[in-house]
Amino acid sequence: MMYNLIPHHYQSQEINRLTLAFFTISGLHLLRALDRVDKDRVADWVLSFQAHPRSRAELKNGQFYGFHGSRTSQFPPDENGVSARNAGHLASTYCALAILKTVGFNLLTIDKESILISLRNLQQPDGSFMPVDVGAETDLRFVYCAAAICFMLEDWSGMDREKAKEYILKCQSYDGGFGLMPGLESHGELNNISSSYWFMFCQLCVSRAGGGTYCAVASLRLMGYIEDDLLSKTVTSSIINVPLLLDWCMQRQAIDGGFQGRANKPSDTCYAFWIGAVLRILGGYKFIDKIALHRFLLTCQSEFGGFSKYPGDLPDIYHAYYGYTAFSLLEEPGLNPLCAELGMTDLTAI
Amino acid sequence: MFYDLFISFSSYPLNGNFAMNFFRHHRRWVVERLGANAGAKELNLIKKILSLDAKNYHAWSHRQWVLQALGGWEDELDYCQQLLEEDIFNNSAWNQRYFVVTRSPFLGGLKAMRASEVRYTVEAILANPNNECPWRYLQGLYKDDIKALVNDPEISSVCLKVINTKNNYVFALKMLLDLLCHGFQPCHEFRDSVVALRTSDTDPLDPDLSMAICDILEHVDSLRASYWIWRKNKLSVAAV
Repeated sequence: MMYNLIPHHYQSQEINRLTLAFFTISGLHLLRALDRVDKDRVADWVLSFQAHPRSRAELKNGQFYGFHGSRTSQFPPDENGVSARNAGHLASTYCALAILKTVGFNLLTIDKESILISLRNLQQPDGSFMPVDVGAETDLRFVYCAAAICFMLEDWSGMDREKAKEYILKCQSYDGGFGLMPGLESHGELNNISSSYWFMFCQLCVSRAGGGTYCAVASLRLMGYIEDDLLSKTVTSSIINVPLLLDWCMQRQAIDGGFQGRANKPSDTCYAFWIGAVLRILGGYKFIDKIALHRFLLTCQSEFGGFSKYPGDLPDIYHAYYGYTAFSLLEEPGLNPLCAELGMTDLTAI
Repeated sequence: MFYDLFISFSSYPLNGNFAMNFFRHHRRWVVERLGANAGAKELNLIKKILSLDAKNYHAWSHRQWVLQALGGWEDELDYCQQLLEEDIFNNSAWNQRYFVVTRSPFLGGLKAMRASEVRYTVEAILANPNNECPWRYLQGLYKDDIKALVNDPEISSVCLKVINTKNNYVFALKMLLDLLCHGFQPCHEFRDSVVALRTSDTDPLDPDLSMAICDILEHVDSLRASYWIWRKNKLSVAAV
């Protein structure tokens, strides 16, 4: 495994190594092939990325004591014992906890107090989250990461759920989908740097959580603000405009059977998860044309293994992973069932 | 001058690096301190990026930040117009138009702009009735004001016009269905137009217009057949 070095094609993604590890480990688990890795070794490796405060007082310094994404952001204290900036990142923390859960590590044994107390430092007055304590934007991606972290640690003291909910509601666009921030275009995922495939991949890794609509709906579900299978309940009492959201999601399945992230954009493997998962959470997955989607996804399957973004392209680990999650949603035989709101195997179902 | 130095220093990564969180944050930190002048130059810079990729999500996000933090709203509606003339299918441009119409301090807000925007959007619909964007935008113009949507004859009229062409009418039927669900009382012309869409005479059209539309959509929008069957079932439950 890539404990020490990642393949040279992915080395520009070094800062996101934990995210790559998540795709690998969780992908193997979905494929029921986790026996191929040394689970204890994986757990130890992931735990080595945790940022630790030297004292409880440091928890108030504003930094986030979660997990780093890579060794390159972990700095040892200098000779005088002064710790340089050594903060974790929300997205890496989400990946770390997800990997630990996947390999069966008992999350109750980690220092969750440091994570949760310092997580509060990242929540903004408007309810959104920054991914690190300085120098970053705030948007729905990081609200999702925070919600997923609290959910996995089974402890909501790390965030103000009400404020987060208020922020999410402001992100629902006039067309029913959700933008990453209030005012932004609805979409399923974060994508779109057309000039460079690798920059797109980089951004996707850093924002592993995905874009507006998935983050919004999955967060609300994790935080307990929307019930399971909402569509079978009385819709009018929901906090979000569910009919409009449902219609927007349904319209994302294109004529080629695949799903697009935004209106009038091409179909892309990963949206079969980002939009499909939203539909699953709402109870509307049964409405899609599964045969057409299955057919489209197979055109993105590579002869080298894995999946590409578009039919005929080369595969990458991100689209491979979301290809597997999409097939899991389709209940493809041989794959583990999916927890739509966490984007990984549903551990309660196996 | 400092802005120009800053741009030349940080411009080399623009083509691909605009995706990077920290890069955008750093630009915002500098531009905020330089003020409105830098804001105008930043809007120009973003225009250049959008000319390479008119749907670049991060560029649009940054543009919205600049407008809200430093202003420059005056020309933004014209800019959206220009982008839509280049590509009427550009959903990002439609979204930005909505952003400007609802938030610009110079335009008077959504209600004040509604009539002119409805006219613009109806024109866009008639030119390309299979374009999802203007249909969503039209409905968005009546956000939180469903009654006004139902009562505006321009809305039902554009549905009728498109349905009567018997071409690319799926979105028109959807809109008509939504209007009916919200209490629109159609005259006989609407039913006649929907009846005229039927290609088979074997099954009589449902006497309820909403149900009839669901039946048609189940066939002409077959990718979403299950969804239309479910919508129809919900209508019959509501009718009980």
